[in-house]
Amino acid sequence: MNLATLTRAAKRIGACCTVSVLLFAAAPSLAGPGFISTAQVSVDDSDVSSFATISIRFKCKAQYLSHTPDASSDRLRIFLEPTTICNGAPPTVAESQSRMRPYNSDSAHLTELEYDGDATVGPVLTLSFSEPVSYDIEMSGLTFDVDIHVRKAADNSGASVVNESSTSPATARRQVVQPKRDTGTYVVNLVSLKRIPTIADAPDLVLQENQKLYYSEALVNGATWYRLRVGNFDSPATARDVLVDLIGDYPGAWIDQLESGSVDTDLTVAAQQSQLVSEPLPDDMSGNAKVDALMEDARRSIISGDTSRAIQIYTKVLQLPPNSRQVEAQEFLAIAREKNGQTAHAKAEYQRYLSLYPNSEGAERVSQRLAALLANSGPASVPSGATSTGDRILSARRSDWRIQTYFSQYYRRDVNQPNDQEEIVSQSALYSDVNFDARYRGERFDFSSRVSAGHRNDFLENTSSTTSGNSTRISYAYADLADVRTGLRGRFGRQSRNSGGVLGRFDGFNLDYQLNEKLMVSGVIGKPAYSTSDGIDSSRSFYGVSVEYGPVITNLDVGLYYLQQQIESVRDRQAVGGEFRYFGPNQNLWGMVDYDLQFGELASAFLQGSWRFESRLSVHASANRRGSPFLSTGNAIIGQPVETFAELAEIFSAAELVELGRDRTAASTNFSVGLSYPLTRRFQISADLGQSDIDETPASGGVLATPASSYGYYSGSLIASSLLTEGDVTILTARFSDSDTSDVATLTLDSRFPLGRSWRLNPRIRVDRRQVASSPGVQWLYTPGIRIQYRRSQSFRVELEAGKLFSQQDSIVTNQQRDSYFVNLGYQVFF
Amino acid sequence: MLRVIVSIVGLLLASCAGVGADTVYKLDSKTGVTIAYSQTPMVFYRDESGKAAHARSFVDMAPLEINRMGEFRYYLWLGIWNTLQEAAPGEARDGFESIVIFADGEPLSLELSGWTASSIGASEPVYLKPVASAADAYYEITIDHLRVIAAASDIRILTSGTRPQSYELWDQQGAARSSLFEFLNKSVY
Repeated sequence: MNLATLTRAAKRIGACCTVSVLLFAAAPSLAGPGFISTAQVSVDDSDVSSFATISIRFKCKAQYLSHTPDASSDRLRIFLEPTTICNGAPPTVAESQSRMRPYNSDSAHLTELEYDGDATVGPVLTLSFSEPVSYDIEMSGLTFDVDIHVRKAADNSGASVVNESSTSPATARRQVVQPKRDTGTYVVNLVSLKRIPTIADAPDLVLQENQKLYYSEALVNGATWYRLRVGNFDSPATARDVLVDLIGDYPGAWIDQLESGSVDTDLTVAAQQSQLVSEPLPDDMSGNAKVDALMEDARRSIISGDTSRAIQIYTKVLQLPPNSRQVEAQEFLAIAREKNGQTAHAKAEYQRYLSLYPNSEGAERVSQRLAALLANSGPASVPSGATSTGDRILSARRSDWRIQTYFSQYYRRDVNQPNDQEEIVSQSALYSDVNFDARYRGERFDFSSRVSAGHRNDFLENTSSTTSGNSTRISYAYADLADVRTGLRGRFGRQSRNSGGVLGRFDGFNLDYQLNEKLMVSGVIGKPAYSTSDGIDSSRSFYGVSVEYGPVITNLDVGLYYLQQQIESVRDRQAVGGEFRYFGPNQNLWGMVDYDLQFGELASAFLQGSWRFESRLSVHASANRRGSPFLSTGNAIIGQPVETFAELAEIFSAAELVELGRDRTAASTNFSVGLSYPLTRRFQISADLGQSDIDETPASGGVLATPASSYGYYSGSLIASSLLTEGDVTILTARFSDSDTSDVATLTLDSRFPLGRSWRLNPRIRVDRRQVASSPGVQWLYTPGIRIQYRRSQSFRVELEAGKLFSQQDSIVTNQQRDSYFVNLGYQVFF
Repeated sequence: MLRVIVSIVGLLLASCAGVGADTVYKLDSKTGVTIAYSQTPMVFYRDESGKAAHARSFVDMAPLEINRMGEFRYYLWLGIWNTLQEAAPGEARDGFESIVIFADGEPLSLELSGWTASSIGASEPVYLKPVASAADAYYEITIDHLRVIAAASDIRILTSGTRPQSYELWDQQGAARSSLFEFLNKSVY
C-alpha cells in the first residue's frame, strides 16, 4: 500500500467519522412520551365539601380554557391550551396521548384519566368516574398543575372553576399521603368494597399457613369501606411476594401497613353474621354448586347496579373449568359490559359468544343485541371530521362496509463510480404500491376482499438486466366469505398459506371449517404462484387437506396435512407433514417436518428452540434441512435446454423425470446456536454462530454435477439503550463470515434516535474487510448512511434513506477504488 | 435424522408440558412495576425467497401490561428475526420505528416506544427471543386496540421505511389467540 493510498483511505475514514459524529451529535436530548407528569388522588378527611382531590401535574405549563359538563357528571372533559414552557420534556409532548389510572383512584370514583393532545377539538383532559360526581376545578393562570375536588353528585353546592380571575382563590385542600415507615405489620389489600365482603369475593384464594383472610373497616370521609385483606406479614418484602401471586386475580391489590385501632373481622364469621350478603361457599361445595352460587351473586349485583362486580364474577365463571353455565355467563358478561358503558368490550364479548356458541339457543338474541349495539355506537360520540383511528372504528361500525386504502411511492437511485470515472446509474426507478381492503360485516356473513399490487417504473433505458424494466406485481387478489354461525370460511383468488404443505403464494380456493374452538379442518386446491410478476401457472396444480388443533395443552399448537401436486401429467410432490409450536414463559420450541411419499425422503425439517435460565441467560438453537430448491419433480428442468416442463416430458419418462428432479435438488443443511444476556437495564449482549452446507449434486440427464459449498459465521453484538436520549438505541456488531469464495470481517455501528414526536434519525456506519479467495489482495469497504423518517400524522409518513460506499482494493498488481451512493425517498399514506 | 428429531421434540415437549397459565404476572423488583404478559405470541412471516431459497423473516407479537402503582399502560412487544444467515447486522430493525397493524383491514398506527425493555419501565426483557440475533421492539397501545386485534380474523403488519414490508399472520394461531383472550379477560379495564 503506497502513501497516496494511505492518504486517501485516511481521508475517507476521516470523512466517515466526521459524518457519523455529526449525525450522532444531531441526536436530540429530549424526553419520552406523556404530557401528564404525575397524577395523585388524596382523600380529604378534613374537608366536608369534597371527599377526594385529584392532583395532576403536567410536563408543560397550560392554560385552562373550559370544561364540560358544568358541575357534575361521570365524565369530565377539561379543555386546555398547553404552552411551550416545559419541564424536562419537549413542547411536542403536548401533542401526545396517554391514559392512566392513578394510585388510590377508587377513593375518588375515578376509573380512568386520559389526555389527548391530538384531539380534533384541541388538547383535552378527560376524567371518567364509576358514578356521577360533582367537582370543582382549581387551575390558576398558566400553571403546571390542576386540582379537581370531587364531591358526591347529590352535594352539588356550586361547582366552579377557580382561576386567576377569582377573587378568593381556593385554599390548598390537598392531603398528601405520606409513605409509611418500613416497620410494623403489613397486609395485602385485595379489594375495597362498600359492602361487607364474602368468601365469594375471593373464590380461588388459597391461604398459606399462618395467613388469614379477613376484612377491616375504614371510615373515609363519612363513608364506611370494607377492605378484604390477606395477612399479616412482618415485612413489606414478604407482603410483596404474596402480592405478586395474587395480582393476577386482584389487579387492584395493594400493600398496606396495619394501623392501630383498626377493626378486623374474620371473613367467615362476618359472612355468617350478615344477612345482606351471599352465603359463604363451603370448601366442600361441588363445582356446579359453586358456579350456581357465583351466577346468583352476579345476578344480584346486576340488579343492584353493581355491574363492575358482576363483570368480575362472570369473568371468574368463564375462567373456571368447563361448566354448563358458561354460555349464560358469556352472554351476561357482554350485557354487563354494555351496561357499564364499555361498548368496545361488550362488542368483543358478544362476538366471542357468537364465535364460541354459534348454534346455541341464544345466538339469534345475541346477534340482535350486537347489531343494536353497533347501530347505536354513536353518531353523538363521533364528531364530524373525526380523524383518529378510534373514531374511524366507530364510524365504520355504523356503516357495516369498510374500505381502506394504502398507497406508497418510493424513488430509488443507485449510482456507481469506479476509479474516478464517469458515474454509472444502475438503478433509477419509481416503485408504487397499493393495497385495497373492502369488508362487509353482516349479522351472519362477513365478506372481505383484498387487492395488493405494485408497479415499478424504470427510468433507465437500454438495460438488459432481468431485474430492470417496467413491471407489475400482484401479491394478493382474493375474496373471502365467512359464516360466523357455522364456522365455514372460503377464500378464492391469489392468496398465501404457509402451512398445510402449501409453499406460500398460490392462485386457488381455500376452505376452512372451524369445528370447535380448538379444531379446524381445511381443504385447499390451486396453482402455485412462485412469482408475483407472473400470471397463473398452467403447468402445476395441487390439492390438500389439513387439520390444526390447538391449544392441545397450554400454549401448544399442532397441525397435520397431506398435499399432492401435479406438474403437467406427472406427480410433482406428494407430501405428508406436520407442525407444532410451543411457547412457555422461559422456553419455546417450534418444529415442522415435510416428508415426500413419492421420493421416499425428507423434503424439509425445521426445529428451533430457546431456553431462558434463572440467571437470565438465554440460549437459542435452530436446525434446518431441506432441498434447495424444494424437492419436486419439476426441478428436473434445471439445466435442461428446454423452455417448459411439457417439452421435457416428451424427452424423458415419468420415472426418469422423478429421478432427474431428485438429482437437481441439493440438500441444504443449516444450523445456528446463540446466546443473549441483559447485562444491565441499558446494556445487552448477544452472540451467535451458524453453519450452512449445500451438498453436491450428481451429473445426470445431460446436466453437469455441481460441487458442494459451505458458509459459516460468528457474530457478537452489544446493544445499548437510552445513552443520549430516552428511547435511543445503539448497536455495535462484529461479525466474521467464512465461505468458499471469501472471508469477510464486518464492524457495524447503528444508532436510532427519536426526535420529538414526529422525527426519527438512524445514522449508521459499516466497515468490511474482504479477503477474496481467488485474489491475493484485500478489499476494504466503508459504508456510512442515514435514514430519516417524518410522521406528519397517523396516516402519512415521509422517508428518506441515503448512503455512500467507498471501496478500496489493494493488490500487488493494481489498486482499485469504487465509490457508489444510493438515495431512496418516498411516502406512505392511508385513506 | 427424523427419528432423532422426533426424540428430541418428545423430550422437550415433555419437559415443557403443563407449565402455568397463559397470562403471567411478575414483579420487576428493580423498577417496582408489575408486568402482566401472555405466554404465546402471534407469529407473522414474510417470504424472503428473493434473498435466499426458502428464507423467511418473522415477527412475534404479544401484549404487555405495565402496572406502576395503579397506573396501567399497555404495550405490544415485537420480536423481529429471520432465517437469513447472511443478513446485515442491525438492518432487521429498519422500518419498525412506525408500524401499521391491519386488523380486519382497519389500520392501527403504532409508534415505537423503544427497542429495549427499559423503554416500558422493565429492567429486563419479558419475552424470550426466538433467536439470539432477534430485535425487541415495544409499542404503546390502548386496551381497546388490543381488543380490536383479538377480535380480528385477518391481521397483518406493515412496516415503514423506504422499503415497507408486509408481514402476514402465520396460519396456526390457536394458542396465541387463546392466550390473548385470557390476557384481555384479566386486564383491569
